[in-house]
Amino acid sequence: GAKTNQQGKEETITLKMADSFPVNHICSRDFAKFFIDRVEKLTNGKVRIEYYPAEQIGKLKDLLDLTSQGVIDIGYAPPSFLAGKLSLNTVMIIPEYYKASQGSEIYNRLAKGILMQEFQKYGVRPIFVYALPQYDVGTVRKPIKSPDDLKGLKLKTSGGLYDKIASRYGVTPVVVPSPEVYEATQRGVVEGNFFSFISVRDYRVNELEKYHTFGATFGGYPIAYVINEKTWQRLPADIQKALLQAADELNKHAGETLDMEQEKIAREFEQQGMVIYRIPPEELERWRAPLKGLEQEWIEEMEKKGLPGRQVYEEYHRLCQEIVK
Amino acid sequence: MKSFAYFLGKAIDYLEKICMTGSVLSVIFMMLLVTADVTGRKFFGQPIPGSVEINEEYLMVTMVYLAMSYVYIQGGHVRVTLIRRFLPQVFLKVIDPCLNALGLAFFSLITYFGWQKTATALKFKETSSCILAFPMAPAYFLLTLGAALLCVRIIESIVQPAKIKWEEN
Amino acid sequence: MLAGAILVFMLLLLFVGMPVGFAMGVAGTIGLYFKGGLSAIASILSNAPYRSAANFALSTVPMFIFMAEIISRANIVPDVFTAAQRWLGRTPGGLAIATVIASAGMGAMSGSSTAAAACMSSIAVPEMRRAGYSLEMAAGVVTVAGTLAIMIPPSIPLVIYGLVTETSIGKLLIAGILPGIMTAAIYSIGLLLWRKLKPEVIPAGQAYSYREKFASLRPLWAFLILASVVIVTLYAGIGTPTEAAAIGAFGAAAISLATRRLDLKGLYAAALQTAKITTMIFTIIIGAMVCGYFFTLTQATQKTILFISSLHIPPWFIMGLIAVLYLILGCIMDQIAILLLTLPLTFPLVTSLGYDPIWFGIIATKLAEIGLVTPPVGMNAYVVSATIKAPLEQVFKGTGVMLMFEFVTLCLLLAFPMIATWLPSFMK
Ligand code: NA
Ligand code: NA
Repeated sequence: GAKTNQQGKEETITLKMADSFPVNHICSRDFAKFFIDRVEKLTNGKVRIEYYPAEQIGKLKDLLDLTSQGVIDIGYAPPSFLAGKLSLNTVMIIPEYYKASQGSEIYNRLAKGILMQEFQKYGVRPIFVYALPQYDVGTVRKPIKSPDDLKGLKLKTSGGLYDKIASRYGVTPVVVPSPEVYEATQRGVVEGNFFSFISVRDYRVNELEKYHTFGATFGGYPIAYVINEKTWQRLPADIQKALLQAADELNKHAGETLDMEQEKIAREFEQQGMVIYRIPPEELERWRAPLKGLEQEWIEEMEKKGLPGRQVYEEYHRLCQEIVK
Repeated sequence: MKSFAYFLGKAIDYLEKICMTGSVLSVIFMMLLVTADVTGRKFFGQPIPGSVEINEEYLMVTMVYLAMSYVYIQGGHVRVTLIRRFLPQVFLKVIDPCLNALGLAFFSLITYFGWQKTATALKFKETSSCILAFPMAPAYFLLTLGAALLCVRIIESIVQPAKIKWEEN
Repeated sequence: MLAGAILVFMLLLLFVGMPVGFAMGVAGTIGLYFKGGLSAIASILSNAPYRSAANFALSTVPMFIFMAEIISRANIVPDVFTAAQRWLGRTPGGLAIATVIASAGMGAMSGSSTAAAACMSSIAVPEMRRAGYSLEMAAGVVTVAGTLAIMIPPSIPLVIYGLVTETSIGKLLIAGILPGIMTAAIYSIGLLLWRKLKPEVIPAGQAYSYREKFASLRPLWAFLILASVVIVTLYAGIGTPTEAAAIGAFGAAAISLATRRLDLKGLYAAALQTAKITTMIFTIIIGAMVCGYFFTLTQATQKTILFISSLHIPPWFIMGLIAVLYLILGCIMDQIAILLLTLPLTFPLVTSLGYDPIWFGIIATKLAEIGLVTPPVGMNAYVVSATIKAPLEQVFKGTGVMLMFEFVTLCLLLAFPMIATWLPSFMK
């Protein structure tokens, strides 16, 4: 929980924050640090965040539990890996936007609105959220210039809803644990990977992939950091306000930075000899055609679990219409 | 009263046997599942959905936890005996139950939290994140069961230290 | 302070004879209590016990053990060793050298040292014992040679290094080949020299006629088919190293059952033994995980590295201190956890001193290898001890000799970075 030390009249609050990103990853070196610095600044140093990146305190899939149990105050809760818990949050995977800035804004409004209830079930609330750009596809041998080119390829996917998306393009989805992605790509166990441009470099598969799409929508990747509810309730109102302000600033900063970063990385790869197919806007409809009805499938799956799938999807869809122009 | 203890002992032996069989079958099933998955993927373009998750979230866990008490009672857990040999018997007679009590405390905690995890998973209908979305509660329950059985065996070994036949001696 | 006290407490528990996994778990839990109270215990103990077992990449451990158990029960292995013995003939210590070479071959199939050590020990130790090797020597050879698995690609630690430090994984994997071969060569030369000093632990060789030599090759087909199944699976891109292990087990079962070398009862017995060894290994992994989280929370490692980097001493001395730190950590923590915890701090430090990132990857891996076989916490030694049912201290005694060779290799790597950087220099 939040520890307060009485030092004369000065009171400092220390919050423990943990995630799974390696320290040099943009999500930790830039975004997590940005949040930490902004919080410290906005609270005049009253709140100090002790940061544990790179699964130092717990594995990716356990960070939500660790936060709800209060060992850490703020933890990264990745909906893609926690589809069995944060089921409704996976609405963000459904491809209806492309840019990280769009996804981030959409997710910010969803998480603090209609999705709040799902977080509260686990005794946490979202503190800051953003979204990576949508997944594109990178391949080793075969250039992908139309959705039909994907047919029959064995590609690494991230499981769950991503598998469903891949299957609709006739792809054979292969789930590969992250330490094995590089060697699986090298030896041809998979012929390519579904990744956002941000993640391609994390897995170093740009050393192997010769072709990549840019602008395809094979699934979004929402990122949520949650805070323990009791910790939150214990914080004074002005501190809460400062945290929320830092969160909103970060949401905007992360979205914009990721969009620029994606462009930068793509250009870097091109210089290294990767052939990137930039999907022209008029082709986008053709690329998304195989996904027709995916949202209905998602809604039914949620309702089967007794969750308000339709309501959440409709809100998501409305926000996409409003924000993506 | 004696017969109750006798039947309880029998029941635990029987349960342990079933668990051990579960662990052994996990080994065989894992081999078959991965082979089928790879063959299907490579030669028929049709992998077995969720096979990685079944392996990871179920088979690995059942293989390890369901065999824990059996391995313990058979003295299969590795320990250092070099220094023990030079320690006086009286000291060991005193210290061994303490060590066992510490071990018991550790695995009781694992059992307790395993049970809580099971209950939470049931309450929130937690499922795997994979395409099959199978429930997670049974996996946590099997972990709890394995850890609980181990606790029973540790208690037994406090009362009857001779019951464990340490493999290395 | 607390980290040190808990470390001492853990050692005490180990020395009075508490099972290793239990001792680490208990010490870690008590440490967690002093560091973060009951809530720290609650969270770590409700997650780590499940998560340390539920790991697909680690399923390579039971699968390779299963394969080894099947082929040693189906009498496929003695054929191989008979052949090796006849062909190496007069060479003293021929069988030990054959085991080293087989371990290097195993290294080309497995990315996990634990899996390789477990596999090789159930295969090679009974054979070496039969040929007259001392128990310590036989155990020492398989324990230390098993570490080759992480230097020769595929390699989980090298990939982790590449991911954490943004170094080319392709280059790292290539860089591991030469040091891996060199390590195997130094073991072999060392064993020959050791025989000269202590003839009683390694039996003399025996000459065989060519007729006998070729006759020994005939029963090898079953093994050759099996080895090719695994190699082809891996190198033709059919499966990942994890999957190749399961396919190897399947191949072994299929061949053994088809040739009636094994019946279903034997297969069940092999699976039972596999389950037992796997459970014993994972009990230690679970304990190490709990203990590792405690050490992370104390931030003792980070503080030590920051202290080292603040010293104004020559770069080679800093490098030496880092090596010592890794060796100490290797005594209390899991290899992957060590890399994840330390690299963010040591990598920038080491590269800022002008050292090559690829070379440091190989050094870090070498240090991790050494950590796997040094007491009190040496995963490979535990695995071998459990697999062959030998007292842990005898295993450690045997590894002591082999460790001398290991330090020679380490010094060569430190003195001549070329050994690691030469092959990758041909890559674009
Ligand atoms: Na290897
Ligand atoms: Na060690």
